[in-house]
Order: sequence, then C-alpha cells, then structure tokens
Amino acid sequence: MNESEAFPWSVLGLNPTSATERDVKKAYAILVKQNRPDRDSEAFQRIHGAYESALAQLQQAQREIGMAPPTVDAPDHPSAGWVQGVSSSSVLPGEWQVAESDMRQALSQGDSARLKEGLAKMREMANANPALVPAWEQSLLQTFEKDFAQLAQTIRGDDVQLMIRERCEHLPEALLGFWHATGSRLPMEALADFLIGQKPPLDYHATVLLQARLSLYLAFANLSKAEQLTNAVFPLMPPQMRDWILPRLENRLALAKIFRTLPAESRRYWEQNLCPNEDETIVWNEPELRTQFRELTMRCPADWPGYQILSEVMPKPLFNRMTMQFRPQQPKVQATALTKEPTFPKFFIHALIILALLAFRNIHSCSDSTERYRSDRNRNLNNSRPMSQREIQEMLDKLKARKFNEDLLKFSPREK
Amino acid sequence: MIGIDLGTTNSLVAIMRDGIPVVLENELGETLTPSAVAVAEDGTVLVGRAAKDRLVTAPQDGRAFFKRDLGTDGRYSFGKRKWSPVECSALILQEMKRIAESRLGQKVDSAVITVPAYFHDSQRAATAEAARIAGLKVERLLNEPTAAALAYGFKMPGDESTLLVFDLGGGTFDVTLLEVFDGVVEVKASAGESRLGGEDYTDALSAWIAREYHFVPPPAQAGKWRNQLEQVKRRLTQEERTTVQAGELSLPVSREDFRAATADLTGRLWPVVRRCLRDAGVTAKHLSNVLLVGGASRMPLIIEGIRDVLQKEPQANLDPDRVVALGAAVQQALCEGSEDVGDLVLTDVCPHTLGVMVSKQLAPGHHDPGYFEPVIDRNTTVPVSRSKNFNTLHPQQDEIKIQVYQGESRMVNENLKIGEVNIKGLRHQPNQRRPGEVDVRFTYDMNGLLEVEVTNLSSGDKANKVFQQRPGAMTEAEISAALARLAPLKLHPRDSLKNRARLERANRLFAELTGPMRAELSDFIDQFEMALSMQDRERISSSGEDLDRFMAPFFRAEEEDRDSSSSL
Repeated sequence: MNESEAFPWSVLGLNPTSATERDVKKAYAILVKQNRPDRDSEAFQRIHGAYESALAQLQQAQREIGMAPPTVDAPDHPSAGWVQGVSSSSVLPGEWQVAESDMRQALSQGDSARLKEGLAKMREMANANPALVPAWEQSLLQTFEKDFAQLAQTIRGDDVQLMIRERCEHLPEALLGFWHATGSRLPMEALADFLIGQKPPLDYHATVLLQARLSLYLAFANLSKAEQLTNAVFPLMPPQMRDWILPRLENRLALAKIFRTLPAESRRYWEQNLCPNEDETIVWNEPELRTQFRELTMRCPADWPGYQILSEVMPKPLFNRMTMQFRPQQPKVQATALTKEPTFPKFFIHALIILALLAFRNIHSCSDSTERYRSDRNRNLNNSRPMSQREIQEMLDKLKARKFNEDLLKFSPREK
Repeated sequence: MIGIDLGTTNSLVAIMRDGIPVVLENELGETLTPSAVAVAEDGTVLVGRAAKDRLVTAPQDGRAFFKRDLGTDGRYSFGKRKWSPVECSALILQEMKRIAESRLGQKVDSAVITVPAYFHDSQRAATAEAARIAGLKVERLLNEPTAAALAYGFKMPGDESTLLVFDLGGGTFDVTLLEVFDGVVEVKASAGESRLGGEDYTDALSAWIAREYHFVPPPAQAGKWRNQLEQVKRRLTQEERTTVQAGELSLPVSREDFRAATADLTGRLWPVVRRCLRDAGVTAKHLSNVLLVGGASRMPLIIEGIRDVLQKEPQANLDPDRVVALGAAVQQALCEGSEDVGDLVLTDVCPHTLGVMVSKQLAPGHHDPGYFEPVIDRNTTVPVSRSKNFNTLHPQQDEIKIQVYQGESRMVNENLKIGEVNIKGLRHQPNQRRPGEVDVRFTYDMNGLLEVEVTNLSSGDKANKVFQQRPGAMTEAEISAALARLAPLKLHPRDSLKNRARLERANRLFAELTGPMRAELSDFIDQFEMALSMQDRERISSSGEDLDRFMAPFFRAEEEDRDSSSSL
C-alpha cells in the first residue's frame, strides 16, 4: 500500500470525518479531469488509488456502524428474501408441516423407522418443488440441532447437492465442518466430484467459498481431488478473494503433497497436528507421536522434506528425541549414485537390485494403504467415531452465529 | 477522425457531426455493412453486402465471420489464393475508411477501432495490424462494451448510475459493469467469452433441425440455409412460432423449440454475468440500468434471462446495433480533445490477469513448477503498475527466466504465454543484502501494452521488455509484405458497386425461387447483365430499376424484419 492509498483524504482534498461518498466521487471527478489517464499515467494512478481506498474506508465505516447491509457474505445472493417468503408457515403446504412435525416427534422418541419415513417424505416434496428447499434446509438444521451426528448419518449426498444447487449453503457448510472434524473422507470426495462435474460451474460467492473450503479439507485426504477442485475454483474467485484465500490453500496443498506417501491414517494424524483450527494450539501427545514417528521413519528416508517441516513445527527437544529414537534410513538411491562405481556392469547390477527392492517396497506399501483405505471406509460408514458432545456443541454454536472456525468465511471484498 | 465498429457479422463507421455521434451510410443506404469478403467470377474482390449475397450462392468463393479467427494463424482459400483473417479484416476496414472518405469528402488516416473486451493480446494485435494494412493509424483500441457505455454516458452525462452492459454480438460475448457520474465513465469490471455469439445460436438451431426433422441441406445450399435460419431467428423475436422452408417441407419452429435448442449456449452466458458482478463487488440490486448491445441481445430469451437473473428490465433506448460505433466516435473526439465531448473522462480495466510462472516450494530444495502467480489482477483500472518479488530456487542458480502469462487458470499450461524476460547474475555471493531476489514490475497502459521490468535486488541490474509483439504478431516487414500482397487486388469498381450488389442479390433470389417466377427473374437478370456488359449507362439504370421492381416484393418481408428489429 502506498501513501495515497493509506491517506487518501489529502490527495482528494477532503476531510475524512465529514466526507460522504458523493463528496469523494465529486472530488475524484474534478481531479481526474485534470489528470487524464491517457495523459498523465502516474498522477492518474495516484488519484485513482486514493479514490478507491477512500471509498473502501467509507464503506468499512458504514459497515461498522451498521448503516450498510453486510453485502460481504454473498454479493450475488438473490435479492428476493426467501427466508420470509417461503419458510413462513402460511405458504408451506399442509403436507409439509405434517411431515415436519412427524419427523421431530420421531426423533424425540428415537423411532428411527418413522424418522426415515418423515425425511423421505420431505425429500420427495423438496425434489418435486425446489422452492421448498430453503425451508427444508432450515427445518433440518432446527430439527437436528441437538444431534448433528444423526443428521450427518441420515442425509444423502444428493440432498446436499440439491441444497447447493438451490443456493442453500448453510447446511452443506455445517456438514462440511462435521465431515472434516470426523475425518469422513467419502462424502467429501463425493461432493467434490459433484462440484467438479458442474457445467457451468456453481459460481455464486458462497459456493465458491464452499468449494475453496472443501479443497482445503480434502488436501490431506485426497490430494489429487483437492488439486482438481482448486484448479476448478481458481478462475471463479474474484481477485480479492484469491489474495485472501489462496495462500492458505496453496500451503495446505504443498504440505499434503509432502505427506502424500503416507497411508491415510497417518496423513490424518499429521493433518490434525500440522493444520489446527484457528483457535487451537497443537498439543503433542507423546505416545501417539511415537507410533506415528515409527511409521514415518520406516517409510521416509532421511532426505524426505517433511522432516524439515516437522523440525520447524515441533518443539526442538521433542523433535530431536524422536529422531534419535527412530532414525530415518539413509536415502538409498542417492547413495548409489554417489559411490562412483568404476565398472559399468557392476553399477548396473547394483542399480537393478535397488530398483527391484524399491519396487517391492512400493507394492508392499500399496497393498498396505489399500487395506487401510478399506478400514478407513468402514469407519466412516459405521460412523463409529462420532464427535464428542463438546465438539458438536461448539459446531452448533458456530452454526447459529453463522460464523465458522475457518477464516475462509470471514472474507470481506475490500479487505487487503 | 472516425470510429469503427469491426463486428463479426456487420461493421459500422461513425463520426461526430455537430457535436453528436452519427453512423455513416454506405452507397447502398445501409449503416450496417456485412463483414464479408468474396471474389466474383471475374476475379474482382467484393466487400460488404455484395460479398455476403455472393456467399449465399457461392459459399466457397469468400468468407464471413473471420473476426473469430483473428489472432490465430488460420488461412482461408478462395479466389485462387490464401487469405488470412487479418487480410480479410483489413479489407473491411479499408471499406469503412472509403465510406467515411466519400461521405466526408476528405482523407481519413486514423481511427478508433472497437474490439471485444475479452479479446486477448494477440487478437488485439491482429486487429491493429489489419488497421495498418488498411492504411489507418489506430488512435485507440476501445473495448466494445466500454464504447457502448461511452455513448450512453455521452447522452446522459449528469446521471449517477451503475450500468451493466450486456454485449452479445455475432461472435463474441462481453459483460461490463460501469459507473457513470459527474462526467466520469468508470469501468469496474469486464468479463466475457470470445467465441460465443449469435452465430452459435444459428448453428444450434441448424443442429436442432437436423436432429428433430432429420433435415440437412445439401452442401451447395448451406449458405442459403444459413440465411433462412437467420430470418427464422429474427422472426422469432416478433412471433411465438414460425416455419422454415426445407426443400419441399415447411417445418414449424416455436420460440420454445429455439429456447430448448440453445439452452446450453444461454447457460454459458450467466456465469459470465455473475463473474462480472462478483469482480466488481456489486449485487444485482445496485444496478440502475442494463444496456443491451449487439444484435443477438434482442432475442426474447436473452431479455427474459436478464429479467430472471438480474431482476431488471433491460434498456434498449440506444440501438444495440449502432451503439458501439457511436461510442467509438465519441472516443475519437476524446482523443482529439474536441470541444464536443466536453470534459468526459473514461477509465477502463484490463480484463485478464497477467502474471508469471512460479515454482511452488514444498520444502527447502523441493519444488513444484508450473504455477501461475498473478501480478496484475483482472479488472484492475489501467494504466497500472504493480510489482512482486521472487527468489531463485537455490543459491547456485544464476539466471531466472521470467515467463509472462495471461489467463485465469491456476496452472500456467492452461493460460496464454505472452513472452519471457531473462535476468542473470543472481548466484548468491557473500555480503549481499537480498541475495537471489528479483523485483518483477508489470506496467500496463491504456492500449493494452504490457511492459515487464525485472530488477536484480542484490545488484540493482535491470532487464526489461515491452510486449508489443505478441505471439503470431507481424513484424514491420511482414506488414509491408501483406500490403504488397493486397495492393494488386482488383477491387470492384466503386461506381458500379450498387450494380454489383444488385446482381448478387438477384442471384441470391434466383437460388430461392422456383418455377415460372424463377424463369421471369432469369429474364430480368439477363437484361441487366447485358446492359452491364455493354456499359450503357441508360440501359443499366432502366434495366436495373426493372430488376429492383421485380425483386422488391420478395425482399420486403426481409427488410421489414430488419427494420422492425433494429427499432426495438
């Protein structure tokens, strides 16, 4: 930021405490006519920079005192107020209300068969009449307020897709946070596939944010899908959003690329410990860390770049203790290349043996990772590791406040 | 001196007259000159209406829609030689220049030429080359939607308004968001697609008829068929349903059919509109006006779509066909500093992101190449100068090749490479303050010219390059060669241009008629051609008028279509 952008008021000759948007435009119009862009490029750039930053400061101030509606959330959200329009009970068909109260009752009584039935009925109605989707979303959020895990288990992939298509992003966002917290990779992958496959892409402000967040969450779980989604969403981001979100996303992808060789379970461990949520600090649990480090040193030779990252992130003594305890193997390929074998055939044979060994290792690690993948999948399907009550409560608090732990959503277009 | 709208389907030329922009008519009394080039049987080159009519009967002897191929190295062969899109465009520009000269009675040597906002650099460069070949100095390449807004801002300078220009032309689609206040026309954002326009709608209709009715015209009839579909499209702006004559059959086509047949194309429009709004940070309800530009924006399905997506009634109080040319004339007056335009100021944006290729550092010593790092973001107001710092990958690296790209993809291989700048002497040395670090500065001017300056921050050495010559751009020598190639072309004698157009029109009608009418027309044509070959002025004019009288009823419907739709 240069001087004219930091203190735009003197360039425009205005008083920051009293100037209005109209004043800024008037002052800019007069100045720009004296310094036309095609005559004096530098003066123009200074004036234009001051103009833009003065407007941004005014808008910021307006937002702070609550004069302007918060357009930052979704500048392209349809102006029609669907919340008042559709979800007010007078418009909803009677059938809908019956199904809704039925579902609530079933949930409180723990009658899962009736619950399913009620949900299916609402799903059917929402699919037949997309205008009902916002009401459906609200109703589900309210009904499952206390039992989000239940919702995550009941809701289907195509329900989420329908909501996203109908511009109802609150429930999908909440689910995304839940899936991430519980390490449910499959529904995230399915959602990514759906989003990547959209032609034309779903490009509303909120859906763009949703896709960016999904890429972030998928980076460790499924790098290639996360990359694919990032590539798809990059052109959709307005430049301001790109500046804000992309560095974080690129960092995560770079990190995931380094840890990609590890099996899914370890990747998840390192993701949780290297990329904590905003408000959390990393607590290294030593027994667990020891297990993970053993795994790491078995798979990754000493020149693996991840060690460098861990040495920076982990407390020095802890890192040293771990590397003393589990020594990473010396990189084999490099060692061969450095021992300058004088005779070609001998070197060649060595190389062959090493290649064969490497191939074997690869096959081994492949089968290993598929096995883990399978168990990963089972875990997710049975949902045998639900969130703790505290986690769920936190998530719901955030949900109510419509403010998520990811800074991705705290984006404002004028912020730099 | 003049403003030219070089369109995919039609071109126009406009000037400022008594402080008001006006479009000039050609010899045929038309303001829209078709962007078509053809070669007649005798080897003379036809441009405009005559060429378009010739293409109906002899599609292999000429070319239209070449604007879509500008900036590529495609070639067309007709009339015993090869033509580049630049040469064809040059002929159109030459024609525009000639029309202006004959109307003004003085020489014209410079022009403002409009281009789609979403044209990238090589397409702009190709347009500029065409102008030079046509003997015109380019005062400014002006973005089409900006030109439209300028015409609007000129008409209503006092109004403070936020304006969305929806420009769907024959071959290109642009959306631009502007603010107009206190005599300032400020472009906030532009988005678009350079290969989406009315011609695609005609193609889609043709494909739909092939699917639905299993009708595909014989290749010889392709030109005529296209013309018919063009008429169907126009009629559907007025009527709910119409028919198209396919051989013996009369096939019904309704608005609904047309909407369904082109749903994919229409579906591609709205993401562009949304992107433009998003980039400008504006919501649909902030818009005070939606301005329609380009003939294809008249289609009812477009107007309904705008109502749906933007919740706004689009305005067409300026003729969508002419508004761009009018804006070009206003810009020309601005360039000259003319009194007529007062102190109107126009600011524009660069529609594409410009950046460099970088490697992403995973960890020290581990890199992943091929990423695109933006330096100037799309929709930044121009002129603009921005810089970013970069590092060498390792201490021993001495040279950096700064590869400059344009585009919106995350990976460079999906963006367009503009060129590269090399800088050396970056190997780390002791006691350097910023070893291996460079500052890359991009400066983008109002004509879309990019200068890249690289500074070695440890030594202060600089390297820079101006990207005037984009990929596929012509050198000075190549332009003179192109001039030399076009010079010997025998353009049809101007005084008989009207006759030539009349004859092509008659030939076109001949292809459409059957039975006794056709025989009768044939007689009239024979009379007229005989008069032409005898070069007998009196007989030419009398037989020509006879021919016109005979043809008039057949063309009346078509002209009514054209008139009524342009007054929308």
